[in-house]
Amino acid sequence: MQIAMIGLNFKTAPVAIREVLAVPAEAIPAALGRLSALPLAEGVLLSTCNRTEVYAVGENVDELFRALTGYLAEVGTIADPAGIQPHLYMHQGFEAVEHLFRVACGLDSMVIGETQILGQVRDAYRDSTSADTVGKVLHQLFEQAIAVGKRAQSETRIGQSAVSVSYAAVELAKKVFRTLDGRRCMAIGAGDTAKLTVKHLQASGVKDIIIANRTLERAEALAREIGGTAIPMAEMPSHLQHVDVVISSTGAPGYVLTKQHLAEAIRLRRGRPIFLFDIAVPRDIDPETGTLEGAFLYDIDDLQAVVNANLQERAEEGKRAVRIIEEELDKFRSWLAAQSVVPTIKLLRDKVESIREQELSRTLNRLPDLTDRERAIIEQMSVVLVNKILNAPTQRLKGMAGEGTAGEAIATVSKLFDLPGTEVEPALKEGRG
Amino acid sequence: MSPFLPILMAGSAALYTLAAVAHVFYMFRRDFDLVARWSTRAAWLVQTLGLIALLMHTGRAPVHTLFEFAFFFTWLMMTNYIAIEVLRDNQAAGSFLMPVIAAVQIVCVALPKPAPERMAAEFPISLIGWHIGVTMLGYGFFFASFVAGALYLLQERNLRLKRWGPVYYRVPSLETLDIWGGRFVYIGFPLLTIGMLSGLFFAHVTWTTFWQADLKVIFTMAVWLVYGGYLLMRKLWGWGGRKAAWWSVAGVVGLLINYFVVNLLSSLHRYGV
Repeated sequence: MQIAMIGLNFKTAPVAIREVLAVPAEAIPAALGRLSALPLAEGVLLSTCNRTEVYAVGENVDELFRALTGYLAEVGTIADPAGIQPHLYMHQGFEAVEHLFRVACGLDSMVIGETQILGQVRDAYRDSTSADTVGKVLHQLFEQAIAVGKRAQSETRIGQSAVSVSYAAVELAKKVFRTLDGRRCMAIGAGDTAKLTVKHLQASGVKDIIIANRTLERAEALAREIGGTAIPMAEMPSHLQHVDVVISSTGAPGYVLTKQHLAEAIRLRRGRPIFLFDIAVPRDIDPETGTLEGAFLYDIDDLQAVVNANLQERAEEGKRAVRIIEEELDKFRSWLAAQSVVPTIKLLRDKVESIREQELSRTLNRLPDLTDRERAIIEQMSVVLVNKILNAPTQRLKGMAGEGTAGEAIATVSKLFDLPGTEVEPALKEGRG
Repeated sequence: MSPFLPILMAGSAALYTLAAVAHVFYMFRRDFDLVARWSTRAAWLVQTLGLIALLMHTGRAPVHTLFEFAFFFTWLMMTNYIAIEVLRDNQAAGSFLMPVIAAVQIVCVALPKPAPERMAAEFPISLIGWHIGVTMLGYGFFFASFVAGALYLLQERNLRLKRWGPVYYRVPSLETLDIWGGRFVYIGFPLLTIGMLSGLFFAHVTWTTFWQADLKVIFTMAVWLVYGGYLLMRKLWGWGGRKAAWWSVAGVVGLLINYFVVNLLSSLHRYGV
């Protein structure tokens, strides 16, 4: 039995290839139908806009790779499979397992640590399960991959820091304010990024939004759309003292907000901090205002720098996720190894169980005068006896399987208990690496 | 003196120094997190063994000498810190706590250690409880306020200068740090007050006078006024932020001077040195 995977992603294939191989949701059942027609034991198809991958279990790796390559060409209705060959990566054995674990953690994603991919892995597994292409091995593999992804998100900060400019602004504000609940915000200008940032702020609990714009009509339109108060630009400075966050994005050529405006507001705020995000180019807020105590001024480059630092931080957290992957890989290894002793354990249990049943009925036949309660007690004893005797050998066999030394023990057990021809199922062979 | 004690003390001082250096580097470079974390844990372990050795040797509460008190106090601080570090997986506070702890540890190694027999009879047990114990607890809260204040100043600097180092990601919001910095003083101040009043009470019982013109008593009054002023400004003028943070950093510097310098100059608080 072998595990193999084959696929392509945004690193290996241009969008022109990826779009052909991306399977839309409504075409998934048909694609899985074709997958089950292939000469393989189990298969799962994972298709997103950034990657298309197939995981399969079968007898022979080379046959699996050939079948899967043909399958991908077929899914993309590509006449010549050689055309996609250079864009494909193939993994077998534990390399394939590790690859899926990395994918589930978001380590293989364009934005490291994003969580969407985990949902996509879950969906792929669910779809393939309902198409009945998942067996024992891929069931275990995907259940575990989903668990790995969840662990990476909860035990590391891989998905924590903001990776877009508008979220970065919210995150920065939260580094100063304990909570954004009930805070006030002012948008100067009504640009799209400003709108997006205001929406994020609202989602984080910001209540009152004031929108100042040169043309009051546009301010009023935006105020109606996101819920807020529109004011003419001339009134903007007098409202500064009441707001905690300012987002400026006008198309004005000069500074809209001067140091003098803010100094006055800060004096009236008695030192309470105020956040200024200047996402306009050319800038709206005089850079000198950033030197005032209690003023935190960020322009578009600063926000971009935060995003870059955050991506770095996610990559650092990714190293901790790799440790989790290694742990889970070991778990999968022992599970897989234990599978090699499962048939022997089953035969052993079946044999002893049949002896128990036989002897129990014989004994009970020879003691016809027993009450129901007495019969139940005797039966109970026979069950406990069998379980207690078999417990140690079962655990030992599983333990040895985990260490890879079960082969001889399986043969010995079969001989000692005269079990019908057990075949030693080979554990998964190591990948090339 | 138990033969192990000097070795364990020197060991913990050395490990705390390593931890302090690693934690300072950790402010700028993330790679130092593991060295910082594990040297701190190792230092704490060695110090715990040292404390056990000390207790077995003297068989009394470790607050009778300057050295004992400092050694025990840093151990209490570190126990709290390690609990937070392990439970919250957050070692940001270490960048400020560890250098102070390491410095105190090094001074500990140098401090004289008088023979225990001389000391044992001099302090009544209730003096230890009310005067030394409660004051120590108060010191602990002032230290916590210092860490909150120092983190506030660092994080404010990060935000102002747009530096996104490892500590930036681990520190709670400025507002939270400010609130907790204040809360710690709110708790520490009454404890210091009780400690001081009990000292005056014992002075009255022992020497039938409340007031001894002792340098330590005067300096502690000054520290008390510093923290009292801090609370007053917070309460009455809604004061906080950067100034309050500097204030609590300065407060702990005062505490350390009070403890290590003034005690040695004081006639009453020399602990038999």
